[in-house]
Amino acid sequence: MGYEVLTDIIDITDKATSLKVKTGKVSKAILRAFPYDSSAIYKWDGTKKSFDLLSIQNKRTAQGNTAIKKYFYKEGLPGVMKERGHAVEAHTKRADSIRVLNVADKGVKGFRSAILFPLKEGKTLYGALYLRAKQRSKASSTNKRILNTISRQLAATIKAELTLKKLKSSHTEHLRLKRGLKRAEKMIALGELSATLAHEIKNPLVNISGFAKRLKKRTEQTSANHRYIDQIINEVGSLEELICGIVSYSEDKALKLKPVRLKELLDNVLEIFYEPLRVADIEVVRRYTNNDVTIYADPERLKIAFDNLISNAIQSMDKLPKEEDRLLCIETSSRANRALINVSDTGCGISPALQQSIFDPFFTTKELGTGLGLPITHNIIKKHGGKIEVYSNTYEGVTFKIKLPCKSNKVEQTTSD
Amino acid sequence: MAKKILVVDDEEGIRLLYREELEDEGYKIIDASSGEDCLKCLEEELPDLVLLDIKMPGMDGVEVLRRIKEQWEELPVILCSAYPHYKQEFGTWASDAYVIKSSDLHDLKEKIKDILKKSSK
Repeated sequence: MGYEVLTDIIDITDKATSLKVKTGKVSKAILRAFPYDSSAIYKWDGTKKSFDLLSIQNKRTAQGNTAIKKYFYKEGLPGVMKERGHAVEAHTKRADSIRVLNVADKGVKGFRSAILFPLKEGKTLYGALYLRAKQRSKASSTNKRILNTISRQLAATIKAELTLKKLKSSHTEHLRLKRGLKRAEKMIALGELSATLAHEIKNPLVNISGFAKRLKKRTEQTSANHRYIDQIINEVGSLEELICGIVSYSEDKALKLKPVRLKELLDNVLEIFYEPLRVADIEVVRRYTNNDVTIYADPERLKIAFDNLISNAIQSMDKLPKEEDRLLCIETSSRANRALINVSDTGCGISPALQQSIFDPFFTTKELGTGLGLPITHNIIKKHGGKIEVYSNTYEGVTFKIKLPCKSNKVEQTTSD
Repeated sequence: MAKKILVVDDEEGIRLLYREELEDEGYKIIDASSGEDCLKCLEEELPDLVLLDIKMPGMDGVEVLRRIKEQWEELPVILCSAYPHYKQEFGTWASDAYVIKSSDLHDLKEKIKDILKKSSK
């Protein structure tokens, strides 16, 4: 038995493939070089305290013999190995026995000999190499030394994989925080801006609109001027709406929490849209799976949040060709102290690239949009300790998934006084 | 007799708009363009109600409100502002109503009617 297997294994573990592929190939190389019929590699999960199977390779002789997918702490031979802290070798009296070294291990069934090496680097355990042989065989000290070296190489490979994973997840986290920060910066800027805007722009608007309305009162209905004045009133009206949107987006108003029956609240919001829904020929499907979901929330603010979602859905479906189905579906359910609300439409949908930005202030795809509807909704849901996410659904439209806490400790305090 | 309303706002346009709209409703209107001006007016003649803007140069509406309530506790005051968030501020609690400025004066007119009805009882 030579040391060539070590060069093979270094080549395998150096390649940029997945951990499963690498460990599978290492097992194959081991089976080629050593008198074993099955080689399984496990990864140690420190939080769940279990050995999880990464990959297994069997020689033809051992086909049909599977490996145990998971060994919990102190279970089977991996458990013995973990407790002793070094490699263990064991032999059974009969091939169908599952008892070895005073423990039961179904993994040894069909085998006469088994040897386990801990995959360790320093004192840290990363997994186990579990080799089994059909014939009773005792590992020579040279083989043990080589297999120990392979085990160290495997430990380093798993460690590198874990580090990479951590790096990737912290990178994702970094990107997520960066996005959040960008949104927060925009919000602060908006907050400062809105204070000025509210006064400096709203006052003149009240003036223009107020006098236009007075002028309208004094003008004959039949006069052409009547139409001009209407135009002024309408345009100023939408400007006033925009200013109100900005103010309400940036305003840091405390929630007035009280018990709210979700079904009632949603029905109320849908009631407001009765006429627009009818005109746009949209069918409304209500799937309230639990009629009695009660949450602690600020009903007025939540109404605004759902109002924005539904009015978007209507606008999106109104753009569809006449013959296409127009469906607005509102679903509610509750799970583990959380209320879930889905608002789905069969409208034109939002491309995945745009889905990232729809909660950013001033982002809009509509010609007349203020880009504040969804950001306001997002803020309101977030303030309630909830979460809102957007998904493309199978009807080519979008589904907004909202999670709201049914009750929180903080909420209880405010409602008890 | 027509009820008298004192309109306090630093913007001439707003004063004119309120004057015209409220005169149409049958009220008698006097106006002031600043907090200081408002207090001077009150010394001369006491109205039935004060319509008070919050954000004004010099003495702001919240301070004017405090002084009014010190001297003329019974005089009803409606605070007007473009800012909805003042509503929660401690200093504004003493007012009888709080109205967010809008070109739709319906709300304001209703509140004036309510308050004057209450105070004449």
